[in-house]
Amino acid sequence: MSAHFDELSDERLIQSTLAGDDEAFAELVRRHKRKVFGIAARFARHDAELSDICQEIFVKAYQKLKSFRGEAPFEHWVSRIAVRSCYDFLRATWRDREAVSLDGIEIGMQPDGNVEHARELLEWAMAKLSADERLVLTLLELEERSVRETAELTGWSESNVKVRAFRARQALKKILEANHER
Amino acid sequence: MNDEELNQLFRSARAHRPDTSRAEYGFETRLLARLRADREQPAPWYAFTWRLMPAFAAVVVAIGVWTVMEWGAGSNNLQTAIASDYDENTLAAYLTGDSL
Repeated sequence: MSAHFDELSDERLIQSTLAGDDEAFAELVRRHKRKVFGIAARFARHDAELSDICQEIFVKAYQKLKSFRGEAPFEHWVSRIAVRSCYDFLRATWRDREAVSLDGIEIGMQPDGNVEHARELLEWAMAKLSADERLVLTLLELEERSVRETAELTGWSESNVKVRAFRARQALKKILEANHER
Repeated sequence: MNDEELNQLFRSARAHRPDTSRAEYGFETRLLARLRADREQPAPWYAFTWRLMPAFAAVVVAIGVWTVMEWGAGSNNLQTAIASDYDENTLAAYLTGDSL
């Protein structure tokens, strides 16, 4: 069954899914889950949360599959759903995230370039940003996407992405400076 | 903190790729189970309310038409207009002692 699906294009799998073949959708998920998990992992706090976000993303994709017109590859289409779902998730959990403490994270910048420490410090500081600030910095700085790609994924205009990114960087600097002074 | 220090932090974080293999394991199976469960669940009663929209719209239009017709008929009928004032005039005449 799986070998049969291996040879089919995404478009054929979508047609089969729309005709009621769940296994065809499972193959689509198998092909694109790595990309979706990669996006969602930047926002999830643990595996269970990551799995929940990804389930929501693929359930939405399944429900909206009829609206897929094939103008862009399926991977781009599902990435857009992923980014918007992550944004919704960030907005829904913003209050919990803001309360994350610095317990266990050493305060202050370390010039020796301790990667793990830097990652934890950035994770802590980014949790204090608003959902749109966190989203734009994650896409531009961590995922290294261009302004244009970020605009396509979020549905914002390119100038809006630039403005939000500038403000997000300023906000992040303030949070880190305030932490440094403590 | 200057821009270079912030960029250094981003570089460090970028180098770390979260390991998602544990969460990915058996994901399709769980997802299909959920999709099947969602399909088998009966739709809530309010899911069909939008289908009643034409019926509701027809009732609203019918009430509107009936109201306009009734109002129009009432205002054009001289006898109705006189009759509606009759009770008030009778009361006023009684209280003031005037004859009708």
